[in-house]
Amino acid sequence: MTGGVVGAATDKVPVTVLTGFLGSGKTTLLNRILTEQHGRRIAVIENEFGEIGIDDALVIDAEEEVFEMNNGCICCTVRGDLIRILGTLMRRKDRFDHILIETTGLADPAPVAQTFFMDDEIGSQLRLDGIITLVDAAHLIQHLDDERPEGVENEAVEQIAFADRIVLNKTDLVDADQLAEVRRRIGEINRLADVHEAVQAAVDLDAVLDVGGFDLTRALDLDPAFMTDTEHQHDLTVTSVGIELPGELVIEQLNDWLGELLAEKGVDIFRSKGILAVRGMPERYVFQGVHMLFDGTQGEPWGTAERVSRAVFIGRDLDRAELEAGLRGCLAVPVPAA
Amino acid sequence: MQPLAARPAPVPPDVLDRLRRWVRTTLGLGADETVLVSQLRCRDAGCAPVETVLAVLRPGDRLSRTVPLPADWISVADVQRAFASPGSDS
Repeated sequence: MTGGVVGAATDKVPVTVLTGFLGSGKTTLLNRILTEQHGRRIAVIENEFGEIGIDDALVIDAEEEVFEMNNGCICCTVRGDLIRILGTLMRRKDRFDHILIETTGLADPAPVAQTFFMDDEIGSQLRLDGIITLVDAAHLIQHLDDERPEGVENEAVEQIAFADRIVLNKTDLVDADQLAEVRRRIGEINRLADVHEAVQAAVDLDAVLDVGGFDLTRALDLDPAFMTDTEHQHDLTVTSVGIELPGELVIEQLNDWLGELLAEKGVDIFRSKGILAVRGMPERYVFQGVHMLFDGTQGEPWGTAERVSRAVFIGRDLDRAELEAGLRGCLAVPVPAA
Repeated sequence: MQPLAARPAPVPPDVLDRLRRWVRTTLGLGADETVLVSQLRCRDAGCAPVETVLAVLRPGDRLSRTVPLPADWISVADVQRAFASPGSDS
């Protein structure tokens, strides 16, 4: 199953999702974006009533319309209110060249992201550029360690896990050791996201608005060290697992393994990204997913480069050994684990 | 589920408009009610190779049907038939 396309066609309007815990500085960043002379025409959708007065801002109801779509082979959650307001925006898309969606501090980023995969009209006219998470350097650890009742998610953890880019704000309120610890904690959860430090949310807007986090051609700008990092993080619920595997994979086995993995563990796999070397395919196979929704395409030819598959999973209760064994089991010529 | 199966071709805008209009007419919807159209490829046993989800989203309520056809093959009669049959609404 594949959902709607989150492609990178240049004629599609890019959409940035801005998330972050209450007090992290989203409003400050929004005000900067809306008042600075940056040459972009940005439509803002925000759902925190009364916080900022922006004449052109579009406000979606604070009461989120979240819909489960369980349809046999497809299972995801979309936001009806977002589909409606994006539909309205698309009728006047000559008036802007970027859309920014600001979510409340408690919103789960998944339904926002999945909405772009699921509705064909949105997918044909808009492209999700990236999820930006603002965090408060002085309070992040407290939020991450906030114990929740059984079955209740920690939104701060999820917002970091989903992020393509993280703005580590209010760094002036912590010393160097505290900052290093905050960075370490972020890295434990999400090793894929770039982290940009800021004071007063003063971050280069190019670093926020043109991320390419859902651009399949840029899907795997990975830190090479991460791919070979075998450090285990036994105590964490939400982690990143990177796998690097030389050799060629068999597409039928990949389909079976990935299909089974996403069907069984899709709820716990927040983001997945990778470049795979598939037997009989001269090009790289580039993929990424949000929970069970998965999208892939053929990328650049391998040419004379060594055929090495690289995949990253970010999610809850991930079993590194199981994931690696699963991908290894798809190799055309099985190679025993080192 | 076969994640690496090639995805369906994008649905042309006129087909999307047509499907939305037929859903609205069939159900007598107001302009403020959201109609979602999503074409999916699934190679699971028992699934059509390409199927189209038609869903109406409104506060507190979802009405959804899957038509086992590509979006541009669906007729108004298919839409009427789909919503005349029981589904898993919420």
